[in-house]
Amino acid sequence: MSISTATLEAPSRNGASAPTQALVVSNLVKRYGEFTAVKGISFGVKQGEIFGLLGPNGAGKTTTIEVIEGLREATSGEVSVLGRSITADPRGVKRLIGAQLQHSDFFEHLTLLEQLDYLAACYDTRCDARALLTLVDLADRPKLRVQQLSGGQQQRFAIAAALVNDPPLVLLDEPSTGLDPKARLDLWKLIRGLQSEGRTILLSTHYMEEAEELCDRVAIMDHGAIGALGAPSTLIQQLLNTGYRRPAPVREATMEDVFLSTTGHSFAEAEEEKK
Amino acid sequence: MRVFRATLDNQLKSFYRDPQALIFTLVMPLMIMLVLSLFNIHVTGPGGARRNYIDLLLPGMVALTATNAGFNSVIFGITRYKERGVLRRIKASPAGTLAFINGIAVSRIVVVALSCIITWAIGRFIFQAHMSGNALALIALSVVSAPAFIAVGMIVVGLAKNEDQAGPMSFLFFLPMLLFSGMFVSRAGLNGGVAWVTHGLPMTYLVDALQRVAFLGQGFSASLWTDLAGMAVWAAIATAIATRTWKWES
Repeated sequence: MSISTATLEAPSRNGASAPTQALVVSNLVKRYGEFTAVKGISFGVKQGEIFGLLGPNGAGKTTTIEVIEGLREATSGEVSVLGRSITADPRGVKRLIGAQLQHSDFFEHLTLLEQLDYLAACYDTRCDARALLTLVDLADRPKLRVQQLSGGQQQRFAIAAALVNDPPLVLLDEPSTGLDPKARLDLWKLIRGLQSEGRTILLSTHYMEEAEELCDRVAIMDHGAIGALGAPSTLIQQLLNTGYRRPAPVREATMEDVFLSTTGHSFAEAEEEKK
Repeated sequence: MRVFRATLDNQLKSFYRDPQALIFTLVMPLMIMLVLSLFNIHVTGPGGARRNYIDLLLPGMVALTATNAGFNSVIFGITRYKERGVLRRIKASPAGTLAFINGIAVSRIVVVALSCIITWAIGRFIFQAHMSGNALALIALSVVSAPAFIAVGMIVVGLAKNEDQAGPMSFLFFLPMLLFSGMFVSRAGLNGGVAWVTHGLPMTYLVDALQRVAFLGQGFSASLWTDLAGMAVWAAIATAIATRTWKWES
């Protein structure tokens, strides 16, 4: 599946050329009463890159993503997707976004195919639900319900659901949380596949190795602010240039890697197969 | 329009695939009819005629079915979606709130019609209830009542954060409706104050209308118009409130 040119092209204003930024966040502030969850952050995501928001729980990653998705209203600041302002055209922006939410679920009595068809209707479009299930390696279970899938399969299905509108920008909120190593690797492969189709990916994670392996650039968030922004290798080099050295040698492999490499599957999956 | 049609289709599928919703909607009136048919009770019908209790009970059971399908299934079904984040996912799409809610409402109106037909058929053919009036009018009145129950249900959905909150909120409204609507016993002997307060409940209007049509065999009388007007007022006011209390998330 490849994304259409029509959705990739930014809306042209007065003959202006398409922006190279898929997403621009400027001075975004989000307050909940007295508490400021996001403190005036700014960043841009280039078209076609995988951009990570890296930080611990409570850093403001999910709030930032939810503002971009239109689930929360910004207290102040600007968000634009492919040149469209979310304040001026919230519905138009939603059409350009594929959303995988952290705290969401699907209709418990619908099959996977029906879920995808329904969500496509929510975007006033149709999708090739079977092709999407093939993309996320669930083609053999179109009639199952979401609750019958394993954790990794559910996350992959959530990504399929994020693609029903063929979006140029895909937002993934902690997509690999709770997954075993094999499922996480499968998910990374899937996300790289989306990038190779020309989509832009913004994902949040609190896994360092995920940010390093998967993301072209990352913004490190803590307490609602961005502390550093750049390519993981650049950020590491900048740190090393300051004279910093890790106090202990890095382990090059763990038992988790040994198990995965020996059996080709994770411990949790082996347990699941026994059932 | 696509969101509306898809939501209608989705909700009808979800309803008939959900054993809990089916049991709650249909089995409850069926069990009540089954238990009360074991008692040898008679009531006085039009012109002083001696009638079986099931003749009076059946319109009430149709009203109960309509309430379960319109009121309770909205509350528990949609609150569950809200609590589990199903609604959040839809909120992240450009789908319009009105199209989505209308899809739900129309699905429940269809369910009210179908389930009331089933309850009527069970009462009529299995429990041998005798009807003085037109069965079609009985079903039509139940369908007309549905918007009022759905709208009140939507208020509860808007206010309740989760199913634990929705349960008591629903019962706070449902129980007085059930007990004071005249479904089981005539409201004629009811304490004056309580009668005055509970007269305006939507189920009282519906039970009164259904009993007039099915048990007393009346046509379109002034009293029936009052019942219809009462339900229309409930639908209008509750819809206005529900649009303000509606929330996509807990």
